[in-house]
Amino acid sequence: MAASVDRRSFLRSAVAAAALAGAPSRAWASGPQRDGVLDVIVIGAGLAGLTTARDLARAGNDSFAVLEARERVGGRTLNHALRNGAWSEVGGQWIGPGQTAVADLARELEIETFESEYRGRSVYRYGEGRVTVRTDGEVANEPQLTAELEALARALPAEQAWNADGAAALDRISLADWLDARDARPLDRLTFQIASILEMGVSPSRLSLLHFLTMIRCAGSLARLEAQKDGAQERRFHGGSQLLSIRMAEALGEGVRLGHVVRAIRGWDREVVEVVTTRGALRAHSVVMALSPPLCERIAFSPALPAARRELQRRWPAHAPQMKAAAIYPSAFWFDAGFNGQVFAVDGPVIWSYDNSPPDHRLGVINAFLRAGEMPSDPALAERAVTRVLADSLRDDRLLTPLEFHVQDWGREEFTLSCVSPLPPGLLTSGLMPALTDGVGALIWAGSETADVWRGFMDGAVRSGHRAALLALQSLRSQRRA
Amino acid sequence: MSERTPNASAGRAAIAIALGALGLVGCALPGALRFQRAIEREGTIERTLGEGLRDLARSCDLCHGHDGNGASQYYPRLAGQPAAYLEAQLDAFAAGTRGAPQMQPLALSLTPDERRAISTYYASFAAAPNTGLAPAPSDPRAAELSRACTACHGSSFEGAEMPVRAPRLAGQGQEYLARQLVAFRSGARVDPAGTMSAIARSLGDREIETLADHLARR
Repeated sequence: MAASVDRRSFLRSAVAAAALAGAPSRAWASGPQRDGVLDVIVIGAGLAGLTTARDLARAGNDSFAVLEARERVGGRTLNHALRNGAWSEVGGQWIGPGQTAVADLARELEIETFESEYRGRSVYRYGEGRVTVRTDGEVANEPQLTAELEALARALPAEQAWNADGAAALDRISLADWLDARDARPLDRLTFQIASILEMGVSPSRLSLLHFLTMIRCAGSLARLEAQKDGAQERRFHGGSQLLSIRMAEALGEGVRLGHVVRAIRGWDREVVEVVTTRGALRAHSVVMALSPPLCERIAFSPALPAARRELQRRWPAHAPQMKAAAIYPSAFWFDAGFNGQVFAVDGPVIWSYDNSPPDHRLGVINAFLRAGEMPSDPALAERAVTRVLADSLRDDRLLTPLEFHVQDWGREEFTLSCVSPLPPGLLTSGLMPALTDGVGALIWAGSETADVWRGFMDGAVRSGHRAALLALQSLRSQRRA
Repeated sequence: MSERTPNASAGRAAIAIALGALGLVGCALPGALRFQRAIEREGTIERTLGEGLRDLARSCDLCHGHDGNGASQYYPRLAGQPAAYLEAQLDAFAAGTRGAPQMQPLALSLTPDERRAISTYYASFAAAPNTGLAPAPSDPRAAELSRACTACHGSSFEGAEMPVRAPRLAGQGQEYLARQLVAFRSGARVDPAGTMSAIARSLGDREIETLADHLARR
């Protein structure tokens, strides 16, 4: 059973897997299928699911299938192919200090990183108001509030902060409640409001203070969480972040099956589980659920999942869809005028725009996080809405006529629903959190949401994939012994 | 560019420096002044409404548009909807009787009082014309098709509390309206009296498109 992993046997599996990783062997393999039953089914071909499968393969196991609902891999990472072989990421895209799991993966896949271009002036907008500031990729919040938040964050344990003394008091209130209690000035509220909307897709009243603190704790400081320079948005992947998943899937070959929408999972409490998809049913001994809790909620489980898991899936936030645009130009001419392409806007369609040009500048690209409600659905009107803000803010009418314009609304993607998880006050200390990670029967929970650190980031997804593979291998071992 | 560019230094909010620079250099920076005034105006609105409600509305606005008057045709516009209708929908999302994977967890995170307050908030805004639609020729059958809607939704599709709780359809998002009709037709969405399911089952795909487009342009 994957449900309760005792630490010693977990480590044994880890050591065994590590030993096998260097020299693939058949020690764990049972052939692709025994009596039509796979060892492991992985649901979801994002970073978490593909990392799981890759680890299984590296441990010598080829009795698995990765089932992906879409006709592509990569989950919440997505490259838009542009002219001249360039690309722009319209999903998760950055890697920053401390994100060692995704950094290791990139190195193994021979995918290089490069620094985001952020040097220069940014423009802040509110209504007709416009302020130009030389930011150079730094975000500086009000020092007193920052110091107090960071002190609260440092006092928390790195993992499972919801178990810490005093956690309930920090989870009972929202970031907005805390700013109220600190009597924060309107301007300082505004900077936290922009940060909260950008990072978590909600305003501060919908965000648990404890959740915000765990993110600061993980990043090391508020600046590291929010900034580009020395922060979580510092570097990008050559070829775009989706390339990580594409490379892994290529190596896994037929192990990855696209266009398989999982509708039901039957008999997860038995030795052999049946996974029902739109293209037929498959059976396996273990099932890795490399999906966010709201996506798990869309699958029919029989028997019903334990009450705590059901409640967690029902309550897990799915309302931070995020919408991103990419506007493509012949060159990154905004740098010539000293701008870095960044516009922070309190209202209107653009939340934050930034330079996303390819490193060799064969094209100029400005990406923008958008307020989906302010974006017309008609493509021409959508392009005008965004480029008008860019041209007016950066004072350059060339921005009105991009060569290409792309929009990605993750809220419309039924196999994503939401990019990030803004946990509301009360959820972290509701007693439901163990159900996020504790496996039940043959089910192993993965996905970035389940990671101990960098939850919600690409790094968290990779970490969760490593953990899931170890749990699956350990579960197979104990089954073989029995 | 007539505006000066202050430098952000460590430990100080970038905007604050820019605004602070106004005082230091003692010259008028029109853009920055307007920015400052917008912040002051926001502070006044917050004091009137209560900070909590205003902040909650900012989360809702992200998909539903400023004051519930969004430009998106996909996410529904909330401005001018009957408050009781909005509240009933939030209650239905929380209870799971109206299936909406994105709205259910959000509704569950709100207290019944918050659901009522935010419903009243959006109902209080006048519905602005739906300007997010590309121009298109009108279908001659549309007016005829939409006539049946007026019995419950009002003569101008403005929504009603009586005889049944019926949402405003005029100016609603075109894709949203079409999606709801398809959901009523398939049984994925049910209305208390079953009226909408019966009506939607009588409509073909083409008729749903025509009707949704006609209502979105009212």
